[in-house]
Parts: sequence; C-alpha cells; structure tokens
Amino acid sequence: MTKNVYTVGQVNAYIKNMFTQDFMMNRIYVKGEVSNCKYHTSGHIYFTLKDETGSLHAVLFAGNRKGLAFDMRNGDNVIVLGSISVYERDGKYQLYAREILLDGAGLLYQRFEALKRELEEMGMFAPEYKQPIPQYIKTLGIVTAPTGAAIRDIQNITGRRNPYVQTILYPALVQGDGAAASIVNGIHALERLGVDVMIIGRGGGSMEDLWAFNEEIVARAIFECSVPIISAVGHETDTTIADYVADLRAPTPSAAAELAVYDVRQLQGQLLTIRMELNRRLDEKLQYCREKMEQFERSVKLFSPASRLNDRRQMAADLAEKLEVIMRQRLTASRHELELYAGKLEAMSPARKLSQGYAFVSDKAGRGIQDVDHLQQGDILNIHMMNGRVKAQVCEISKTTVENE
Amino acid sequence: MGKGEQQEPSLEETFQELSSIIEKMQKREVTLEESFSLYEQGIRRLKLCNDKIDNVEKKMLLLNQQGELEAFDE
Repeated sequence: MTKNVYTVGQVNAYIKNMFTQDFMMNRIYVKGEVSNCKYHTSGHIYFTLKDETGSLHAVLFAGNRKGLAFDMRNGDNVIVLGSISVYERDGKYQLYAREILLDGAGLLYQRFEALKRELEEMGMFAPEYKQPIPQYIKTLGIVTAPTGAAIRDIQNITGRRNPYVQTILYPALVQGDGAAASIVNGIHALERLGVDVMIIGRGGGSMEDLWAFNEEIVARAIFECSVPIISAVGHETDTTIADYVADLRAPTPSAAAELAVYDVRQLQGQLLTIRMELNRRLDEKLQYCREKMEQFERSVKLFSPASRLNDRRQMAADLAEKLEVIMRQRLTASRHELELYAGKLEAMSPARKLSQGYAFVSDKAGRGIQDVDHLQQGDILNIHMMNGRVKAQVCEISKTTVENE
Repeated sequence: MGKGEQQEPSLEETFQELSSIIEKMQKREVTLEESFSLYEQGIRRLKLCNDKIDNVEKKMLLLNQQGELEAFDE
C-alpha cells in the first residue's frame, strides 16, 4: 500500500496557501472581546479575540500601531480589521490586525479620547492659559438648563452666600441636537454682557447625555472666552472635555457656585475686624504718647528753673537762719565778754577803790601823784575821796624805805 | 476680565492697602499725627469696601433670545 506521507512543513505550507488564496481571509472585519492583551516591549500587541463559542489569536504589529487609537484593555469589545493567516512555525492561524476600533458605545469614548488628545496637544488644557477666578465678583453668568437640579443648586448657594451678586442665566440646551451650539451661544452672549465669571454645566447623565460638553466648538468657545469659566458637568467622576479646557473645574454645580461667589458675611466680618484693629492701634498709640508725655512732665518738673530756684531759695533760707543763729551766739558771747570786762573794770575802778577807803591824790592840775619824790613841803594837793574833794597842803614828807616797812 | 480696567482699586488691592496701614500704625517711630492720618486713610478705605458690597439684594435674571434681561422665575 502506498500512502502519501507529507512533512509537517508541507502540510503547514498547504494550509497557509489555502488562507492566502481566500479573499475573505485577506481582508476581514472580526468582532469580539479582547483578552490576554499584552503590550510587548517590541511594540507589537498580542491579544486574543473571543466570544461565547471560542477564541482567535491576534496580533497588531508595531508597524500598524497607528491603527489603534485608544488604550486597549481586556474586556473591550472591538472590531478588528485585518487578515487571517497561518504562522507555519507554530502551525497556528491568527488574525493580523491592521486597525482596531472600539465597538458600539466604546466608539463614543474613542472619539472622546481622540479629541482630548488633539486638543491637549494644541495646548488648550495647559495651565498657563487658565485664568484665575476673581475673588470679589459683581456679576455671575450661568450657562445651563433653566430647569433641573443644577440651576436650583446654584441659585440656592448664591442666594445664601451673597444675595448682592447679580446672577444671569442663559437658558441652554444641555443635551441632544443643538446642545453644543446652544452652549456656545450662551458663552458668547454672557461674554458680550460682560459678566465677571461664568459657570457652565449640567446635572449627571450618561456619556451620550453629557456629549455636548465634549464637542470641539464648545471647547474652543471656552478656551477663547475672555471671562473666566468654571465648569460643572455631571457628577464628580464624569470628566468632559469642557472640564479640561475650563479655567477651573468644580465637581458639582453647588461647588461651582461656592467657588464663584464670595461669602458676603465673611467679608463684612473681615471689615469689622479691620475696623476694630484700626481703633485698637490708634488707642495704643495715644496711650503710648500719653505715657511718654507724663514721663517727660515728671522729668521737666524735676529739672525746671523754677524748681532749681526753689532749691536755691531753700538753701538761702537755711543759710540765713544759720547766720542768725551764729550772730545771736556771737552777740551773746560778746555781751558775756563785755560783762566780764565790765566786772573787771568795775573791780579796778577808782570809785570802788575810793569806796573801800582809798583816796586818789592829784596836784592842782588834776594829775595823779604817786611818787613822794615829786613833792615838796608846801605843795597844794587835791585828795579825791568817795564823796568829795579835799584841798590839802604838804606838811611833811617821809619816803618809805625797805627798813621802814 | 470681561469688564476691562476698573477706575478705582479692587477689593483685593484695598485689602492690601488696609493691611499695610495697620502694620504701619504698629511702629514705634510713627508719630501721633501720622497715626491719625493713617487711621483716617484706613477708615476711608473701609468705607470704599463697604460701598462695593452694594447691599441691594438681586434676583436671578434670564437672558432671553432677544439678548434682553428679564426676571427668571423657575
């Protein structure tokens, strides 16, 4: 029996040829769920497409990388354009992908990603272009639906925080046909009016519902607007392109209102505090000056000419008193001395002597005579006694000698 | 800013001026006359700030198709 025996190589080559000859296998769209997705360092992406029935190996070579415009993950439902061919080495057939698209709802997301990337590259999200939100505004513009939770929340918050700020609503379509154009009109109209700050947004919803805020014309209108814009689209977890372009992103419409409008009572409180501080500082200064003045006054009093004059006067008075005392003492002492002398004099007075029985003898002229040698017999003498004078004549003279005594 | 240049200083600028006035008043070297002058300047600026607050309650307005403002009743 002769059987045709073929090599592995021959079989694989045959099968490969079958695939290459087949029209459909050369260009086919295959849809399925991505699994086992591996991003190789080489740049090739290996994955498996599967559905309920089975799976198909696939690869996107680095050269075709441009055919994948999004971050492909396991679980994504995709449509792959490519060819199916045989890899002889492994005896396997696989899908050689040229383009990979997200299926269905994912398409929307893809458009979102694409636009986001494009605008980001143009720099429209760059922080340098973001305008600061002014702190103390007078007018607030709002682009949102005239009914619904968003406008209600904004109204409540602004009314509570600062009823003196003028709020102006541009009632816009926030989903469906014409929504993007409506929003753009709103931005332009409020900009023309010249509001200080703008809030644009809407309540939560699906990606389709929020789609208007992902449109390019809206992004451009926000970017080119001279008025600072706060975006508040959907819930905290939804981020639309409007949120990226806006000058500030708020997680909810209420938060946007708080960011836009300052609390007027807080401001009034601050002003009051400042006023009290001004008063306090002035009082302190006055007090300080008053104390300095009193200090000065005390010093002046201490060293004033009037004060010094009083000192001198006091000294003079003291000295005068001392002088008087001394003078009096001197006077007393002198009087005393005088009395002593008077006493002595009295003791030696001739009158006294006369009273004691002594007599004063004088010649005719009144000159005293003590010496008998000056006398001769017959001279006239005057003898002065206590109570009178006796005129006498010398009868006899006898001189006292030592023997006589 | 949508409004363009303001003639008088903004609230932020006025706050800064007030802050520096208060700081100056604290200094020892400042004379009593200067203190009075600074106080007066401060009070004047406070009045400016209070004037800016407006104190008139305003209802939300709606910008209609004709570009006119009308009352917004929800």
